[in-house]
Amino acid sequence: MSGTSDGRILGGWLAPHPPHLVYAENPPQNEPRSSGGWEVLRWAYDECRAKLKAQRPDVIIVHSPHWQTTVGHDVLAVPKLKGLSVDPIFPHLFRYKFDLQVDVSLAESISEEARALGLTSKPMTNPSFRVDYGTITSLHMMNPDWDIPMVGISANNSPYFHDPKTAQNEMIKLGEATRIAIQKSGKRAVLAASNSLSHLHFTAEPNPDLPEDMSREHVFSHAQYEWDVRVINLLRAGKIFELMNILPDFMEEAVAEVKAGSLMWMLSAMEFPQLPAKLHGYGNVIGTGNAVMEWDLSEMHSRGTGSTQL
Amino acid sequence: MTLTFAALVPGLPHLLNPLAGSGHEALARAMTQIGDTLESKGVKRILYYSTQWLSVLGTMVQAQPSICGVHVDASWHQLGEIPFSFKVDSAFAEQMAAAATAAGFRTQAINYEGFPIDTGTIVADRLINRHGMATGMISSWLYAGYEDTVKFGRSLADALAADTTPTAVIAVSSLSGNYFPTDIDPREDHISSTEDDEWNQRIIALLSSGSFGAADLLIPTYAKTCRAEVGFKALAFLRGIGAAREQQGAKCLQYGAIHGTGAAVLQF
Repeated sequence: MSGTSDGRILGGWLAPHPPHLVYAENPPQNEPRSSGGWEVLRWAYDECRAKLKAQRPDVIIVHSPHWQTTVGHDVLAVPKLKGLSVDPIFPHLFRYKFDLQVDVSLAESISEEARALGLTSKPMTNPSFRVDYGTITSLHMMNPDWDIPMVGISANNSPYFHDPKTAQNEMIKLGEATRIAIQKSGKRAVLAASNSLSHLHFTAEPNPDLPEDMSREHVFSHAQYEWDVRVINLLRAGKIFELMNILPDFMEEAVAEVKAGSLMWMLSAMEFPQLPAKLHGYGNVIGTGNAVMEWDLSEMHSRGTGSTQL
Repeated sequence: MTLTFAALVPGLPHLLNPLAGSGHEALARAMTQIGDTLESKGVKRILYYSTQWLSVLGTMVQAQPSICGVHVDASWHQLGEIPFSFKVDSAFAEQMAAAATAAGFRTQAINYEGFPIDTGTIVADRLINRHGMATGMISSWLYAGYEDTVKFGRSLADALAADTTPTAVIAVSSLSGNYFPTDIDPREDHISSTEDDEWNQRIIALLSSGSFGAADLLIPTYAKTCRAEVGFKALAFLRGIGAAREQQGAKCLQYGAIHGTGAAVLQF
């Protein structure tokens, strides 16, 4: 990577955000209680937690599809955000008391660099802002101790407003802006793309009396499963360009949540690493496909594999 | 029959502190007029159906008796904090949920501290319900089509008819949904395209003449062409619950733009 300072991206994680994962864990911040469930994905997040403990990054930057903004790619920029986040879709599972420490200087810098690249972006400076459950779930599952400052980036409506290519280009620029801001900050950052893969889901809980009934959990359809496996295999093989080619079809046919731009943002920030991503776990949550995957950029540098500007 | 009044209104936060003399101010004024009118008609309870409250696992009906707090819109956070305070008729919420469930619609009455109230409902309530009358809130089920939403509204009409409290139904929705993708000067706000403007006016004309059946037929094309908010299911709900009756035209108090989208205050 080129840059003007020694800030760098340590790695990136595909960090899906079904609130069921927090519910299943019974952390003190979340009011509803469960008897567990979705262990494969939660075990995968255990590996992420261990990695972050070892890496000790200065900041985790998360892009969440559930902070949707109509105008621009906004960035949380309040030093401390605290409150109760209730999932509007699954309020019986997720009522979480959050307490976030935001890296405001980096947040403002990302927004500034985004504007410099021609994007619309502004810092979110309202202390009463309620942080979305996607951001909270991904961050909790990655770092339940909440001892690493974060930056949250919104999902602009552009993927739903423009043609896929235009929207994709916006996310590529947002990734570039994020990378430049990190480099200038001198900080060591970990990125999190907070999205599921296939996103068709059941319209009713299979067992409303026991949401964590794993005997009723399965992928929405075999076609979705095949799409998820195809995408995961490309990522595991480091075939980023092949992935880019099939993403529009994946978004269309599997209603993939990557459409919100999180994955594209992260890959762009990491300069589209030609590096096999590590799959830590795949599982279904109310029918959706979810993978916890890691790109360790230090491995990329030690292996001598490259990254590419699109 | 306790359905006493109905209206379709916009629900974006630009209306709460509009610039003097702006189109936003005119829309806000029309909404306060709606509040005055429904009070003069003896309304004691307002039911909100907002297409900004989207539910996935069927429909939700708010049943928490008292809700207050400060809201910041996820998208328009720079417009500031919006204090809100609702008294909810929780008994009637349960009745609505039961009626809809009996009609085959998965519906749950919810009662959770901190459940996020959508911007549309809050904006409408701030402008219309200035004296704190009882309310109800009904979500827009994402997977209900236009016809299903008509049927869902119809299932609630029975609950309304069996209740004696004079009630207003307020549907909160934009018309055309094409936003400007960048920041604009609110003094220069206008409908984002001529095509959207023409479509909006065509739909308003049909509603004003009471040609609701004709409007129903056009809605799929309108929604697709102009990104009408959530398929313009707000009209479907009003149709189903008995607020928009053929040959009983609505009165358009104001039409304008909010960040490029279409907004109308229509009294039924």
